[in-house]
Amino acid sequence: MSDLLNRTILAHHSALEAREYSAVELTQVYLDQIAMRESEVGAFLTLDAEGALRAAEESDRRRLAGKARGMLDGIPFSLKDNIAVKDMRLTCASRLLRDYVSPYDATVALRLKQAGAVLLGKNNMDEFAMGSSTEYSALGVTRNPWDPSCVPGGSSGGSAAAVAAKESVFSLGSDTGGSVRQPAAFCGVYGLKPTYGVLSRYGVVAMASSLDCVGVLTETAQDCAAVLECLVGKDLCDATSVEHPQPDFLKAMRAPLRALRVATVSSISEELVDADVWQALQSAAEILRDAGAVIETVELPVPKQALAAYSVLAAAEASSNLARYDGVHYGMRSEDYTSLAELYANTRGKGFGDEVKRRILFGTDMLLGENRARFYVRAQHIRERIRCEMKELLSKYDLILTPTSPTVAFARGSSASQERLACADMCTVYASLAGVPAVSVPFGKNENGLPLAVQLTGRAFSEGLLLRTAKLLEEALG
Amino acid sequence: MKETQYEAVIGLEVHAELKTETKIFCACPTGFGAEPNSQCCPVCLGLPGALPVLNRRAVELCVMAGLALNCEIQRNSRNDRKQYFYPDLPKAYQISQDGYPLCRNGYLTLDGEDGSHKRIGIARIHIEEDAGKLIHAGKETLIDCNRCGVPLIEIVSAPDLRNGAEAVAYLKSLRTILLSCGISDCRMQEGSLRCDVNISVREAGNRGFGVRTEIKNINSFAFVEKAIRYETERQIALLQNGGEVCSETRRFDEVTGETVLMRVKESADDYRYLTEADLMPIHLNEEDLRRLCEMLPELPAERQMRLISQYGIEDAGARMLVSDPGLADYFEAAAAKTNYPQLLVHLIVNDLFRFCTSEPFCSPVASERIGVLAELLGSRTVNSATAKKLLSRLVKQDFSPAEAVECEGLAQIRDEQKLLEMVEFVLDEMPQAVEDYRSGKRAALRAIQGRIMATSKGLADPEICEALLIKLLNREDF
Amino acid sequence: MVYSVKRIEALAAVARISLRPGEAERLCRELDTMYARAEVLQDTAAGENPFLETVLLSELREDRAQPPLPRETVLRMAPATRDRYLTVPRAVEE
Repeated sequence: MSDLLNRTILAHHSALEAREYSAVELTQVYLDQIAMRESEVGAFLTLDAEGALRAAEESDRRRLAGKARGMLDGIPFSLKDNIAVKDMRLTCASRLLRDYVSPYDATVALRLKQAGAVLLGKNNMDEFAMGSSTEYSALGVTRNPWDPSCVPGGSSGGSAAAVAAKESVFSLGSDTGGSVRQPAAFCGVYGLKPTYGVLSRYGVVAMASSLDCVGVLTETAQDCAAVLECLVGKDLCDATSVEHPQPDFLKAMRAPLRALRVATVSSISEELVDADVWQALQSAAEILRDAGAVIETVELPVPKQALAAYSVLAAAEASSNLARYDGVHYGMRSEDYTSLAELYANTRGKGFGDEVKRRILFGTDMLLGENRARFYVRAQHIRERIRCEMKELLSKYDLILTPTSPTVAFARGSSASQERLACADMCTVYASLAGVPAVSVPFGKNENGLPLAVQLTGRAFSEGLLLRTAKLLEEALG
Repeated sequence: MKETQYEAVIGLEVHAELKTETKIFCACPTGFGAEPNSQCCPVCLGLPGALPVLNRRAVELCVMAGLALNCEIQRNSRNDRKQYFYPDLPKAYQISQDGYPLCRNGYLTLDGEDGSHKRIGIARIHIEEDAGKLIHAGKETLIDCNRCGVPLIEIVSAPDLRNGAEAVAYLKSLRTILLSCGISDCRMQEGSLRCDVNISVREAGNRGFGVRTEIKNINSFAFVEKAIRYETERQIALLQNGGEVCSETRRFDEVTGETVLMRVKESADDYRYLTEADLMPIHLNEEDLRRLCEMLPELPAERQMRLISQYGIEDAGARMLVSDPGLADYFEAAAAKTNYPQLLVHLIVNDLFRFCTSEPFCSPVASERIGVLAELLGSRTVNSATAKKLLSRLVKQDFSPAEAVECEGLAQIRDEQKLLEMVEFVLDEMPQAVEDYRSGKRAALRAIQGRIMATSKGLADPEICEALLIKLLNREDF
Repeated sequence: MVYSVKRIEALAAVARISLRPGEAERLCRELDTMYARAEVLQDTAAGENPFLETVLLSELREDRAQPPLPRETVLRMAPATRDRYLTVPRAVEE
């Protein structure tokens, strides 16, 4: 295995500048790795080797002419297949979009192209981002690179697996309730969900519009900072996008860390969490204490209703966002119809997988008749309350330290208990409901070689602090 | 058995296309008549990943409509999704406004010709996007997405109208206001103004509401009146025969003049509204409102008052002039050339109108010309027959009426001596007519007048002639 | 038990999703579970404030045209077209 697969973005950047190797060579190394590992890992739905090498050539030409574009110029990456790239398939791992080719670029994809980064291809995912194991993909199977009998997590499982298997230097996924952080944790890589609105959603297929965030998956905290820095900036094509007030993330990585006020969550208790995950959490707390942090236990706002609010809002919004897949204007159309009604019903009925159908039907019901006020509107109110209370909590504490997931990667085909599922949600959905950033930090392996992780959640726009703290943990682990 | 008296209760929902350069949620051009499917983009096509971005001008025009219609402009308003499946709706939802529209609680005053005033309440005005155009052809429906996303305002009246004539008066008044403020072209034939009628009947004196039906797809003001008349009678007949009115959607059949059932309104019309999370709620501040108020031109009611006071013209004429802002502009430009504005009104209405066939008002005669004509007529330089002839000529070719009068000797003959000679000459020629007049047949006067005008080649001043005639005819010694 | 086969079928009709034989029964159970978890929303009251974050009129998009997609692109993506139109089976008037 080539040593080039073990370098950070910064290291690659220096090496490329020093002409130690070329972007084409680097890209070829990654393509070879993909060729070697893909049959087992299955992280990619679309691979564009030719396009990647062409982009790498252009990168080398630029560099030769003294016109290299920055840190990411020549760096190979991949995208979750719900992020649009012009003239490339955009499947969302669904039969409905299996052959759909996007005529435009997502803003984040465009910004990466403009930064000179080299797109290798698109990663597998749970269909329409609904799921937490990537097992709901209709178009492929992705296995955990650390243990192929285990899932990579979801819904951005392909992205996390690609980075973990060294098939790409970094990947972008989408996180609605943990879909970047949890697979990152399962695959032993970094997974950052930024503040809502900080990364443009234009060209990212919507699941739940008020919760969806583009997320970054990398091997190191600094790599995460580098990618984030390239991507931030208000986008006129996304009305919910915002300017980041402190976009110098790489600089923040070098800043000294003052004494932190850290909170841990009482309801995420030892009984609900795997022993090795719990141990990792305690070790992380210890490292932070050694660095001068004060750690206190808190309760999260409205604990009884938070998960319910999340699931109702996510389902209701998803049912609306997925209504457009009706076989009329684009995508797959069922061949089995004699009327418009049949066209709709059979396209969607046969095109959507079971999990998607389940959530659409539930979400539809939450908006019907009396349910709308009783469930959907109620959920909105509670969400607003959570947002306010989290803001207050995060004004008293710099970070909330929790597991990313109560378990390590589980076996494919297994189903978790309700309590475990609820606990899993408990760890990740608060950051989504509150719109604040959270990062999953890899924290060693358990005795079976499966990755462990902890999660840091911070106040709005505190990605710099989160990544700096993550770096502290990274360095302490060695 | 005493027959119950019924009254109709009518509310109108009017949709007007806004005069903007671009669509409401994307930058596609809005021009009419382009090739099918050539004015579309990822946003208005509802492609995966596309996001709406609100057009500022659309909001401004909606607020201006609200100001012109005496509404309470809402400082905070929001967009919502109205969900239903139909091939002209790519996202399977229409972005509209549900709970928090831009404008509420306005009114429009109908001025009766008898001097009465009736206020018609306007419940709300909100912005929304238009759907595409469908052409039903045999077993297929063809879809043109150009119109998807064109900006609309929906103006919902209170159920204050009581008959078809009032409804048409309301529509005409509404159209005049929207035209004069540059908000919409209001062309019902082109579809930039659409009207749906909500109508129920109840026993006269009753304060409650009967079951209402909705009548859609009415293509002209005249048909609105017909549809209302038919539906009122239909509902009354139903009730008088012991039946019940069903809540239905009906359409108006232009050929038969009847309303016809389209579909029964069931609970399937649940639009499952949810908040449009891809757009931010809009906040209007005092500065915005002040600026938009200033942008409002003189409203028709104000202009009507001013025309009366400034030019001394009659109420009926002023009301008619302001029904089309172009017409009022034309009048005022012409009025600058004459001291006889009321005569000008007559010339325009009685003589010019038949040459103006297109809508909106467009005159083949330049305003200065008809103004000069009014002056020539008012100063009695020409008589009205000559004025009419000159006007007919001006329609075909532009020239200076004053010069023509001069060069062609068209001036009225006002010299009493000359006229006396003419009158005496004609009277000599028409002894029978003189006899008839003296024996009480006043109509004989007309005949004599006619001969005098013919003899003078139409140039005799008819008033002076008539006075002379009567004087002569009544003299005993003639 | 909140969901019955009839209710699931009605929902599927609203959402325009056809169901396989037996699918409705399974969905009954699944949606019941989801509904039961959502019921807890009834326990707490919370006030409404939909305008915590807003945008100003001046921050909205300027009314300036950009080039649309080429018509060929639009038609190419469509599952069925005729001449310059997209086609579907005859729609009943709404």
